[in-house]
Amino acid sequence: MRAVIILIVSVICISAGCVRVKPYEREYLSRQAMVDDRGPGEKRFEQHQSGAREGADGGTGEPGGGCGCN
Amino acid sequence: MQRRHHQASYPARTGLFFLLSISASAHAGGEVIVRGAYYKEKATRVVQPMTDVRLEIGPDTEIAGHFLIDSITSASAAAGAAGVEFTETRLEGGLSVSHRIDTYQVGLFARYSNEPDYQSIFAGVRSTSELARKNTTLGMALGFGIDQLSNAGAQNNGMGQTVPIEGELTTALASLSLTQVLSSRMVANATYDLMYQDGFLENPYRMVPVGAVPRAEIVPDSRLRHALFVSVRGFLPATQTTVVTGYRLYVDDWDVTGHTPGIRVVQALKSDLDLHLRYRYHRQTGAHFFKATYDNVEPFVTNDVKLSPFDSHTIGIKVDTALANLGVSGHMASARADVLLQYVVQNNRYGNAVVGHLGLAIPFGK
Repeated sequence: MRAVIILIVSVICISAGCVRVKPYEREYLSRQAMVDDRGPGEKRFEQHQSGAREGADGGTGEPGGGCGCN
Repeated sequence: MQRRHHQASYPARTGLFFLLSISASAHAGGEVIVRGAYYKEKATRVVQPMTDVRLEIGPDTEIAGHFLIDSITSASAAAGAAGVEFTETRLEGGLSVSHRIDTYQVGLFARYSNEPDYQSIFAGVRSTSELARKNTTLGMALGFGIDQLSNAGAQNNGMGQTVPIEGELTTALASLSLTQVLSSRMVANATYDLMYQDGFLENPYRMVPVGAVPRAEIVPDSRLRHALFVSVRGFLPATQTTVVTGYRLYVDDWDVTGHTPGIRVVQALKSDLDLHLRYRYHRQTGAHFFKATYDNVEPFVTNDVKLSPFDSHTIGIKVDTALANLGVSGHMASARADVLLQYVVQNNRYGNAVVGHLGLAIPFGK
């Protein structure tokens, strides 16, 4: 697990050193689907659904659980 | 079917009033989203109407809140009294505020959930920092929650012989994220969540066959959970297609390991009309103490499906459009409506499930 984290963070950090996308080049990056293609309620329900039906949870930066559907 | 009527608690009424108030009195920009979600599988049905409000109360400050009603009808012993179909209502409200200071954003968030046999409160702080001229964004979140639970539902269902059970569960969450622009058409994200749970982690209703005798579920009193999610988003200008690929690796100290890759494709069909296609795969190992049945009493006994080895497939389709495409004019023309349908193949005792959403997002102000 630790090795995977180090590898992924390293790859992204190395990429960061090479990339400088300027503000006027961000037209595609600012599209809604490139920022977030799901609304807050849709994501919350999906997390709630998977948290109630899978032993795995997390990876969203948001708290899961909070209900008696365990 | 036995139905329990549950009146909205004071915090829930207050939360709803707050959301309605800020949406009605807003002078700045914002958005109100109303959504209805439906989930149905063999023994469980969930209907969840919800409202999300986002309000900019200044050039650098934003408030967001949500309120939802979660109506669960189940005949599952895992969710209530064995053999008795029942309906339970959960109310949840959440509030967050964030403030931008130059390239930093800091915020607070809180969530409260209430149902007859389960109350939960969770709160925390969140921050992001933009680096390298907004090509890199670092984020962190810290949160802490307390849940209080009981088996009051079984007693309320007329099973007076049930021994009352009460418990408390504390949860701590630490999250780190890194978002990196890779090119003018591609951005990557990695999020690592570390969650520690301590306290009553059993389901107070779940009974496990041990020999010929059903016994109450027993699991360890703590659980340390790691989840790493990585994703890459890319846009193809030639076809106006956005592709989102993601993968989550999950491990915990109960020996549950989960692999969850997924892909979402968003195809722009015309201006403000998008077609979304999705696929998600989940595969997990079981907890080291999981067994469907036990011959003898062991330190831990559970037959919880979520702690068993299984896999699942989710396919989904969604259409998202501005109301202008439906002939609506005026202010509401910029509102968006979406319809989402999903089918979940669960290779376990839960069986397959269908999911449906209807959503409407209405911008205001500005």
